[in-house]
Amino acid sequence: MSDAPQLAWTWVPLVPPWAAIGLALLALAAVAAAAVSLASQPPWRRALAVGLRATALLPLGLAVAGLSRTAIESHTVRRPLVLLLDRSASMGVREDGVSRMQRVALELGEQRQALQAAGEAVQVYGLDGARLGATGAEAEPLELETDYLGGLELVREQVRPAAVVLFGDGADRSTLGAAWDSGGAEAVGSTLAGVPVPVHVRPVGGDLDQDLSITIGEHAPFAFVRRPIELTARVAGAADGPLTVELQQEGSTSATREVLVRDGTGEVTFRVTPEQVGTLTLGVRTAVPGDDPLPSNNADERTWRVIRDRTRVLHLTSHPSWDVRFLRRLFETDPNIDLVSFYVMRTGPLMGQFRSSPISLIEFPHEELFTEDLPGFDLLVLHNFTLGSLPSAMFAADRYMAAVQEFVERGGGLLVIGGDRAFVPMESRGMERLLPLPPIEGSPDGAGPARFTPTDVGLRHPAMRVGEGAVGQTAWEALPEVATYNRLGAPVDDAVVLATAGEGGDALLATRSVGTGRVLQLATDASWTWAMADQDLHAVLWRDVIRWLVRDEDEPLLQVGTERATCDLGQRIGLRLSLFDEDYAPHPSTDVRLTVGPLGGEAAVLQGVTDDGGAWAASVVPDRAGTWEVVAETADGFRRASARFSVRADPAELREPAALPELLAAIAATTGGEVLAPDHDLVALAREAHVEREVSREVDTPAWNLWGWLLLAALPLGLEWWLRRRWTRT
Amino acid sequence: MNRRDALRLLAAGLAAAPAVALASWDDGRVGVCHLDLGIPLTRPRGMADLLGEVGQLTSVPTRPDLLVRAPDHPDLWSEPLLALVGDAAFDLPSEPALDTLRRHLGRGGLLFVDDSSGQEDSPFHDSVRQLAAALFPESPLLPLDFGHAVYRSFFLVDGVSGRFAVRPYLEGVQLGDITPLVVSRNDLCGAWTRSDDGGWAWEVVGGGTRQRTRAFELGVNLVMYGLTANYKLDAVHVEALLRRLRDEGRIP
Repeated sequence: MSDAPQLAWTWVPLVPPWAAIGLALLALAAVAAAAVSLASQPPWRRALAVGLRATALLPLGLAVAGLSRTAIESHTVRRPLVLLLDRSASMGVREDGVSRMQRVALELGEQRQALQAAGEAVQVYGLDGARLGATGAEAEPLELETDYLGGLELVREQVRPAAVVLFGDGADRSTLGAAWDSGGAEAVGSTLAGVPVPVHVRPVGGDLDQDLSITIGEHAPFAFVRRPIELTARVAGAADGPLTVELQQEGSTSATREVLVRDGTGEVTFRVTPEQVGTLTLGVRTAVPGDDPLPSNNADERTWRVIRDRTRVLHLTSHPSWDVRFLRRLFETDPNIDLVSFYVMRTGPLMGQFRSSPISLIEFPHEELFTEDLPGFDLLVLHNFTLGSLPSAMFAADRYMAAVQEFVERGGGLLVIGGDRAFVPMESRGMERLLPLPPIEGSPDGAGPARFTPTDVGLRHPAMRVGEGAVGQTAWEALPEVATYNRLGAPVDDAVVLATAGEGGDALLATRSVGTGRVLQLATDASWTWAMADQDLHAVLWRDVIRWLVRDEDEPLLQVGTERATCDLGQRIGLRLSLFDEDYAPHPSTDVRLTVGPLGGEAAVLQGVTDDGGAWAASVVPDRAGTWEVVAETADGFRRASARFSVRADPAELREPAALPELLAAIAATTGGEVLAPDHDLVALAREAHVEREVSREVDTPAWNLWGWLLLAALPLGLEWWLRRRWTRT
Repeated sequence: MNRRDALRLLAAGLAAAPAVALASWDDGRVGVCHLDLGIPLTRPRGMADLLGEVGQLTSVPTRPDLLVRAPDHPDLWSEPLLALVGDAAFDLPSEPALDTLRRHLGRGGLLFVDDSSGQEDSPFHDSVRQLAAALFPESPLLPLDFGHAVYRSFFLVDGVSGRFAVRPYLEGVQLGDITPLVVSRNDLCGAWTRSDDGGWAWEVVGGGTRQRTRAFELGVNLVMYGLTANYKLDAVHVEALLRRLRDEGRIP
């Protein structure tokens, strides 16, 4: 409803300040002139003339200075009463067979007709700002966490309510909850200082003494393969006495244990030994009593990333050398490496004066190493090694090479380093099936010297990444040249050459995959000189090589990962896919898809295209607790990778789901609201809400555009003119 | 294809092949570099004769040449095994030269010092002590007990002597589990040095042939220690060695 406009005077300057000052001086001069021109007249006439001229010039001056009349047209509005419903996870807690959310819905249902009749005068919103039906019939908890302050700000932005009625349990774990924990009602008042509407509250829920829950304690996000991990779970809210807890592994029960509950709490620990690298999902659960208010927190689950504990390295060489010495030192000083080395220390029996000298040498246990022990290692290093240096082993060379091939095919890493005894064709039978650079018949001499020059592929390959950021060509150029290297055959078809002898020269470093294992070949035993020149670069390079070979940090060509190993039910979790070429260049503009879903459940398919970095990111909101699997595939299905994550049934809020009516009362007290009873008449509350006047239009009219205002100037001037004529008539 | 065609093809192939310089593996052979600190090198052939013996007794290819470099020589890094042999006092190298030497030893090099004076109070050894203190101020020069890998890196050595028997042990500076500086007081190089006619350049004092043999055993161990460090202290070797010694009746 519009009312008569209100008038107000405002300033809208017409001229700049310096011009206004000039005009004011001119006006003063005009007034002075009025007095001077009547010098012969009696004083009262001069005073009257000066007064009339000043009276005329004043409204003119004000008009020029920018005086303006503003007409304000306004109308009155009635702001709605907003019913703000807490639909957080804790509102799903059941008490006396009814959830808190359902209790709110019942209360609103009792006023259904009146609320519907109230129309827009009463509006219902969720804490997420979503407009709900007139009676808030959406009785299922939808929001994960309670954030009353966020909800209040959202509805203020949307509808500017006259007042708010907050229906909730007070279990706020965000801003207001933190304020309550830190400073009670006073801190809540400070936090709500910017909320200018009265917030009435309607508390629901109790303190949940009877809720049985089980929670897995804090743990590291990763575990080591073959090393037991301890999973400790805490039981709360149970009746005193024995309680059975089940351990769930990959979806099935793998162990049960009885925990003795005292004073409502108990603790149980399971020991589990991961058997392989990857992910391991473990869960615990208890039976759900019939009257349990919150069945979802009777189970808990976590996912561990299982990594290799220590890399077991078998280091063999046909004779000690500086290269062997420096690589050995690197192995020895790496706490993540278990090293077993065997070096051929002599080539024949001791003669002459040393015939009877006691020696520390032991027999080279080649039969045990190649036939029994090899599968127990992660990495085999053949360092300038040939079976030809072990005459007794030559008879079994084919068998040993077959064992090495099987070791690699089953996932082992093989590092073959050159030198004067390496790659002798007659002594390397069978090795050519594994090597990216096969031995060639002919010259036993090496070639060199040469600059170790990474190829473009080498500069970005994980095996040569050299730490967090790949080093550039410059760092490699600063290293000493390779004095001598083995000349080898052309790279096999699936070999990836990582470095050459100078630009475009013989291959020096190459890799390939054999079965599920990896082989890396370095055609020189001169890398020790790099350690003397740049110890750090040498160490980091070899560590990267080892990690690459044993897949410690697996770098497949299609990778998929999740933002976190564990997330809460309903909480959005990011997924990331990365696609590479064989040479680890990002593979852009490729159609890819992610299939995401709970194990054994319905999965969603997300499709996208990789960006310039070969990556594509997506996200998903899990709607079911348990283990979820993400399967990444290229659209043609050629490459495939998967990852897992756990979805916890109880979001963070449900770890402390007890109602907190005191917080609600503090909100009401701070904002001028009230704590309402269940049967409070909400429509009547809406009627009492504020009526506000709202400005619809403002019209500015400058004084110079008002005829009455100009008349104010013209009349005194006219009167002065008339008087002056009479006084000066002779 | 006649012979002319074959030769033409061969010539074409040779022309197309990339130019690759052939190189021998000699650069990879183990040599030693004498450290020049301004005093006369008293046993210039001793280390070379030892390396010749190492090449005969072990699988390690050696390069028994004579190489002498100052500690600040730009190519010092290419010779991890250094030797300082003498009998006279010497001045400490400059601080930059000490830094270079310290870095060399810290990165994996080994400095073997041999006092050829045969004296209890040797000015050479006094200088060596000062050098050790300047290089490693926080790690004193101490006797190496017989559990050290240098006594078992090839031969099982249970006593120390050279041409003389001034000290029945080696001394060394320990950095973590490695010993980058090893000191002998017994003129080991003198015991290793051959004369031009193939005999021995210096008579050993006291122990005869057996003493010289033990000097070589220890010398071979020194080189092998430089190349293998604590290899012979690996549990797998210790267990196998103990088993073998028990089988041979050498230990109960």
